[in-house]
Amino acid sequence: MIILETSVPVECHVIHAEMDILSDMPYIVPVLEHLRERGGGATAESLSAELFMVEPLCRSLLGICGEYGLARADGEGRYAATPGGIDAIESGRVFARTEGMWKVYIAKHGALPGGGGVARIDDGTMEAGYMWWRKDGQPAVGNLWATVRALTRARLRPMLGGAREAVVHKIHGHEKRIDSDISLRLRTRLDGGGASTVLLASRDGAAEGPRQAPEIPSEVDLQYAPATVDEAMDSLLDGEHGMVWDAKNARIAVAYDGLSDRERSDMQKTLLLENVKVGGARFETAEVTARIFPRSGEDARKWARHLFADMAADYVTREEYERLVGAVGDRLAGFDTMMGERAGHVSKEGVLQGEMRRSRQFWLVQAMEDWDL
Amino acid sequence: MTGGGAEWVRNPSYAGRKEDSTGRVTEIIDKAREVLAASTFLLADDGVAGALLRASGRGVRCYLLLAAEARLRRDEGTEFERKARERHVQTLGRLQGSVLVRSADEFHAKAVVADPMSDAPRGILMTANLTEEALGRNQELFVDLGAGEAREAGMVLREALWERATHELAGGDLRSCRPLGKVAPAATDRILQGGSRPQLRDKICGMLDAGPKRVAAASFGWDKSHPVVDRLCRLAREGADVTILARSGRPAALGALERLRSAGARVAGFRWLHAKAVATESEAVVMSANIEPQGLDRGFEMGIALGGKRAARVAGMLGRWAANPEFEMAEKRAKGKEKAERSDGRRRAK
Repeated sequence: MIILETSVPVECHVIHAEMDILSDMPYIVPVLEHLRERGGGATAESLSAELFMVEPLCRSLLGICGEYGLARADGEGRYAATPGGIDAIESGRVFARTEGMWKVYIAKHGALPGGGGVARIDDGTMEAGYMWWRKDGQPAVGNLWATVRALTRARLRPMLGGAREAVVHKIHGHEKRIDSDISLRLRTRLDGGGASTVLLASRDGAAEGPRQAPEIPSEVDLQYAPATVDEAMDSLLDGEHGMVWDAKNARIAVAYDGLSDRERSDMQKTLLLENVKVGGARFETAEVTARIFPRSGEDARKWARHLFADMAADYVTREEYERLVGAVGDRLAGFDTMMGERAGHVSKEGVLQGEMRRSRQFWLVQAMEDWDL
Repeated sequence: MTGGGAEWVRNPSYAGRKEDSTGRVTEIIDKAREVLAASTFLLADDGVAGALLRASGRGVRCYLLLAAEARLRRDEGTEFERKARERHVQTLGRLQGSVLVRSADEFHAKAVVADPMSDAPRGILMTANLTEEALGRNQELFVDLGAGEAREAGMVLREALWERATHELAGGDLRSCRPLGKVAPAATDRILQGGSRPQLRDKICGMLDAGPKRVAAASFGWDKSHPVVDRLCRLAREGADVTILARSGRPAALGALERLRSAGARVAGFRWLHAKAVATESEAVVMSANIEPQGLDRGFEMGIALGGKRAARVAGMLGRWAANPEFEMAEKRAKGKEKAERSDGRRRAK
């Protein structure tokens, strides 16, 4: 298992723009179809006759179409559909032109979908409160926002269901801010199961209105794998750590001497690495917990003796010795542990020397050999 | 110091003991290669503790058989002083982690054996505990063991370690322990045990029943009605030369000693005598057991049966001690006469 953790800075863009925003106006589509059929000669009167609506209402609908850029008037009460209006007819979706201020928060990190995305669009004429973390695997809109030049051509796609689409029509002004008070804490966990979970949390806790801090969700789960466990292990453990990830058996080959007694007994090791790069993304810390096994035959022999002593709960007589040798062999399957001899072999190899020599385990293993029992 | 019709009379020319036997014990420990087993009621000697630490440091596994703490508390003031017990506890603290200690209430044997399971075991059987007082002050006996004897002693210690110990101190953990159930009683020829296997009592009774002309018997503790005392009294009455060596100033022993003196035995007293042995003109037994039920009939005790020159050396040692005793048990005398003899003795000593 790998837990990667890092802080992700949040950029804040304040944008004054005209945008075509997907609107909930299905009744506009029949109006636009009438305009297209009339080829520029549609009026409130013709629309009234076509749709069986009173003329004042039809006049109002034509005005809305004009305001939203879906229709064009000739100054004498006749209307024609614009290209935007034709698009709305063909797609069945109506984009209404809107002008206003938007505050867009963008988080960028290699471990995030598409390298980053819009964390939130706030204020302005759009409805507030869109959480645009992508869940559908589509390209992230945040990248486009980050490239402000592309905003004029960008089509904003909602990353959560129910959000409206919008097309930037024209940017009047743009300001990029780095709000140091706002950051995300990214914590991603990779385990052997394939899928991983990215946990995001705002480091500053609850948003505060006066600071205009965004209401970044306190925690968002994403199914996202910045790298496979194997790739991550390879990139994390190679180099200065000098360990080799055995993908086939999902374990790390290590030298016996550098391990703690606990690690030797559990045959598991947890490494805390700093400033690591996994799958092209950089993380402040990586906590790697993995099964470990001997790197060499000599390591296996030492390890076997440690496990032997560790498993001895009482004095190791000849019969108990045989049982423990079997148990050690099971834990170190595939290695020649050379445990076939009597228990004295264990201590004479040096594993029970040093501090362990002062432990009760030493006597449990050694005494029966000394007294031929 | 009186008891009934007899009293201890001081010998003004008594010189006390001069030699220190620590070296005899540490030599065995220092030459151990793999395993060292030592049995002692108390362990409170810096020289021995240092040797054990040295042995542990070079990889020798040291096994100690000691009296259980409860027994030590019970016997304090009778066989040893409070200070000795305190030093014993301190010494164990010093050795903690370096030795395996197993104890039982009944452990009273005194022996040190190096490499008992090897081809060349070495050992020493003693009447002394491994304390500074016992090794440097008391009248004690030390018997160097031959290889066969050391091996036998090792087997006896092996059985006691694994089948008779009730507590264990290993790696700093003190815990109770059960018999291993794997070690058969040691079959021995020269090394004898006391207690439930009364080899020592049977051997001594046999020696005395053989009708020796000369007997010397030394013990710290004496029981007035013990079968060995019965036999010594009988021999004395029959005209044998019976010499008793005992610790003076022990009221519990006076009944037996008076009985022996009355039967015709000569009773020599020493303030620090701790040796336990019986020697005739042809045989000797040196042992850890006192001549009383808690010793010859109960508890874990060890002794060795000696013959020939070794028996003669034991008899000679007891004889030398008896020839110059610190006290002699004699008929109680009138007070005026006693006073005159005391001042006369002081003048001679000057």
